[in-house]
Amino acid sequence: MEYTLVRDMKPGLKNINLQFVVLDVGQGSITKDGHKVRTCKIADKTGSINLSVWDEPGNYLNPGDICKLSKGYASVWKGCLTLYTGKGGEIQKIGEFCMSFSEIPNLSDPNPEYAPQMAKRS
Amino acid sequence: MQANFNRLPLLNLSPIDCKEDIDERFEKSYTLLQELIKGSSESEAHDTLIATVSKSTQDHDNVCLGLLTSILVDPPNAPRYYRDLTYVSRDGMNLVISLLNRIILERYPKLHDGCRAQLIWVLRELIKNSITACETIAISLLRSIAGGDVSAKNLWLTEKMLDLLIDNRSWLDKNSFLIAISVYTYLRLIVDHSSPSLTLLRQKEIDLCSSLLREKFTDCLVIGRDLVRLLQNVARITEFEKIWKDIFNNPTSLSPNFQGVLQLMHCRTSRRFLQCRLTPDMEKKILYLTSLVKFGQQKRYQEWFQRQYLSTPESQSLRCDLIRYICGVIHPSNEVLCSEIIPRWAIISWILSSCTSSVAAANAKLSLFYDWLFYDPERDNIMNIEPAILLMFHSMRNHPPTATGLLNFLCRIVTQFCPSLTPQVKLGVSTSLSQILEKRVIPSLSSLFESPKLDRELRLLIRETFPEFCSAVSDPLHNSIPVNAETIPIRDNSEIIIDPPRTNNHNDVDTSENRFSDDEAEGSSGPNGGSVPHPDGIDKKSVTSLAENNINCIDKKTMNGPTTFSKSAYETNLGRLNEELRSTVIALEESKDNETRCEMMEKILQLILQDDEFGIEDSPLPDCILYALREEIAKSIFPECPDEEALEESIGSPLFVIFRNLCQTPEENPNRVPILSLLNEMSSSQPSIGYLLLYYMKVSKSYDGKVSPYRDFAKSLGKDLKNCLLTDLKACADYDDINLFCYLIPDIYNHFPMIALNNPDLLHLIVSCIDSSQLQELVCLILQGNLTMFRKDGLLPLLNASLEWETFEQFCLWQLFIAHSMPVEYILPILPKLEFQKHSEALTNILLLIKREVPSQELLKHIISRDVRDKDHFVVSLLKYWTSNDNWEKLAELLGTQLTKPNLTKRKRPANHKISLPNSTEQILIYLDQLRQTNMNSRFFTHESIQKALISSQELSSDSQKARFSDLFALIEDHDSKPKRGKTSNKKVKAKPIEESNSDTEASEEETTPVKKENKSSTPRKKRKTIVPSDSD
Repeated sequence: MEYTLVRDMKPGLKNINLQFVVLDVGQGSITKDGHKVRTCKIADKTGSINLSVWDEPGNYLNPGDICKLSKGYASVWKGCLTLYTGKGGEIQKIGEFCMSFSEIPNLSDPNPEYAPQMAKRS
Repeated sequence: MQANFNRLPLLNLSPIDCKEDIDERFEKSYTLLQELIKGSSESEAHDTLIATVSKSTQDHDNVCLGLLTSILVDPPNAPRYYRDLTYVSRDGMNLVISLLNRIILERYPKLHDGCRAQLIWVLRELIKNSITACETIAISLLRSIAGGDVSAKNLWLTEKMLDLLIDNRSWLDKNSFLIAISVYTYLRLIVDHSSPSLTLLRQKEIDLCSSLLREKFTDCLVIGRDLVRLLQNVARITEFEKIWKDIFNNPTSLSPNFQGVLQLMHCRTSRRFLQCRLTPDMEKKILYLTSLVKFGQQKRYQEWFQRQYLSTPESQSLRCDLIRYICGVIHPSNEVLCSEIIPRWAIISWILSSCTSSVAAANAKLSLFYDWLFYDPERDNIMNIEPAILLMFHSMRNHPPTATGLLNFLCRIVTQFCPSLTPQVKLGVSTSLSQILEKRVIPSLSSLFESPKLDRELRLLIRETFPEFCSAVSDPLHNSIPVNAETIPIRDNSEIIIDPPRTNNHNDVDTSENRFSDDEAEGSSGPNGGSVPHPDGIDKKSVTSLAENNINCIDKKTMNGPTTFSKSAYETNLGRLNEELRSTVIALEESKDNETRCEMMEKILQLILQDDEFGIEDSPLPDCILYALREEIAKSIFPECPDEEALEESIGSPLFVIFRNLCQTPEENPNRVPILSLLNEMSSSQPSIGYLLLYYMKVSKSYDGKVSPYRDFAKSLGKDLKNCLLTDLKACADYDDINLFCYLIPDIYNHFPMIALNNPDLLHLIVSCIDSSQLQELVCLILQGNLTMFRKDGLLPLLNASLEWETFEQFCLWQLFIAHSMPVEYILPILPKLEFQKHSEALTNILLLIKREVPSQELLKHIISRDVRDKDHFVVSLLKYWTSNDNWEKLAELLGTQLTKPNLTKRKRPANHKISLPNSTEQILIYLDQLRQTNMNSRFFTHESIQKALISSQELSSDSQKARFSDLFALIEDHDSKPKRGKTSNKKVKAKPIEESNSDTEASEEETTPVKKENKSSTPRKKRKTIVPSDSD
């Protein structure tokens, strides 16, 4: 399977397959319609990015887990590039610990270039 | 499919867990088997299976595996499946045994409880049938018991295996290795089971171990010295006390061949025992950490490991197992030693620092030094004692308490380990130290034993314990180097660039201490050597400087081979040179006159250039030159007082002749190639070559806008320029004078800006080795415009990376950053990422930077967008600060606009029926509310913009928001009518005079804002500081 690299993520990218290691798992919040959403910081050897994990899978993710994401997409949320699981996509844990990664660049650092997109969305 | 498989009670997978190949194999064979025997009676099934296995090996294997899976998932029918298995297996159960081992070693943590119970059951059956090699399953299961873990599931396995061993004692007695492993495992586990609720289990463990030790001591002897380590921890338990005494006083009572404790202590513990106390998962992770994680990137991995295995109180005991494993089992190859992989000492440093109890810390230190105590070069391995010395060596510089704590422990353990064996332990530790010097693990002990960071008491203790290593400290090392008995002047930490404020820096190190000597005697002690007290603040490392460098680096590569400085190798090499070269090299080596030597060097280069056939790659010439130049390479090159003349003089030796030739050969001239190859070969055993070239280029002003000599040098090494620079600078910082390093830094930034600017690795290297005075030099250079270290692009990744650095390192970074006077806007985007407690260094500095700014829309946007968190005072501190100085009005206006703007757009949206404030507005209100609570500044809240904003926010608030901000909205002043345009000034007038306690601020404000003065003077009315609704109109 072709894996996309974190470094190459950009807004609007679809059908992303990615192998990554989980760095941080956010506390999570509940949306209006009752979904639990967590923001996880993930990384591969080319950089890190935020992954928004919805509902059940988020309860099982831990820092250090090695996972693969299938059919994901990238989009800008609050000015930050963020990954999501797309329709028919999933997150699967395939291991722990033994993966090299780089935290920089963090693709989810606020990027002024995305500001116009953000304005359009809100 | 997965759901189906999950119904088989084999594995406990979470909804996101992925199946592994072995899982699929079990699943498939189970389905196949169930298909085969579906609907048939037991005897029919039996016949079908017999028929199937004879078809092919694959059928046989599938059936065996299917039966095994059925045993594991179907306890009621397990006996029947097991019986079938014994009938159909044609390989003496070989396949079954190997699959069982695999499933235990790879999948035990994920196995279903019922399946774990079946593993024990099937092992008991295998033992009953005396199946060959079934003890390997027992060993795998024993390994799966985690040390330092008293969770119910772990205790379950502990007890089940214990019962199994006890119940099958006659079988156990026949398995010598299993006896040793069982004793090693349970002796270790007893320590974890001291809780009263575990008394029964503990007693069973004690009984089994003591009985095995008594009756099978010969089998236990194979464990070696770690048997004593474990026994010592339990020696107070009655059963073991007796054995402990017999080991010392009556050894033959245990075994006729046993001669006493020394026999055990002299026997290095086999890796299999050290390994067996780490579960396969722990081992896999530690192996990954030590072989694939780069130094500097280990933090997350350590956190993950710590969270999983080292976070509970009972896990303290596991640290010893880990340290013993790392010292005794993980012996990195030279390739790994030379790479950027995290060294073992750094991992052990982390494990030690995670010890929270003093008992655990003492045990962990003992584990670290355990192979020192009776070290014997014939039988022991230098790699077992290397981590401890390197940990002390490296931490002396960056974290002295670790180093001194370990040194103190080492001194005390000599006499306290076992008083009756003190002479032997002393010999072992001394031998270790001699070996360390001989093998050049570290170049000398002086940086440890004579460090100015030792307190008096410890220094005395060291001198008392290791007198032979204290006087003339560096001698034992140099004994093995056939260098002329000449005094090499060693320079101290001399000042560079501008005179630093350290006056006590001219230390009086007796040079005799650093004498290279041919003297064989270890204690060729100079009468005063080493006794000279060093004034505080001396960087002792730079005293030994280059000498350290050579040896340390060469050593890493050739720890077990000959060194470049061996005289015999030199003589052999000479023989391989042609006559003219040989005589020139000899002249270079023997001459004492610098000028002659430089001429000889020049001549060697000419000879190389003239000879078209000459190939440097396999020539012994580079080694010969290194040998001939060993003295100047060994001494510190950087002058004490770096004025023009001294600098010029420092590059007058033969080594620099090579650099000069390189720099003076035009870029495209083919003559550069042989010189580069020569340097290239030399640098492979002499890491200082690279940075000395940089030094030469700087002193001789060869840069002149060109970096080609160094660039070509990097290219000839096959490295990219960036890595080459970093490696060379790191070598300089690690082994040479830090002042030399600092001297090189400005040129690196000026001449390699693409590489150097905002490079986190380079900057980290700098801030990790400089001290406050060197920082001061750099700041001065920046202010003078002679050094630029940052630029806008790539600044954020750099700052991000710096968040992981040590506190002092981060402070240095911020000082350097502030010195550059860059616009604060450049760093604002990092603000939302910073956490108040975790990133205090960065946040404090940013706070101090922003505080000097005048608030602006842009600035506020970044500040306000920080998420609201408990105990985070960043935003409120800034707001409070601004409201109490001249910026208060500006701030009020900006915040007012921020609050009202999004509300207006919301209003335009018809779709948004439900009235509620958007998040961004709510966030600002939260901060305003915090500000209100910090000693309300009323003039700010009564400012028209804020009033307006509060009113409009209140209108748009949902009920809960209204309740939440009720105190804040209470600050809205009551008006009969809505504020009108014409009354603006009036309102201001009213807002203004609330100031009464703060007349200083007001006065200064009058000076700076004359425009408003008029308003002010026209308001004689004063108001109480607390705002009360008033009907002023």
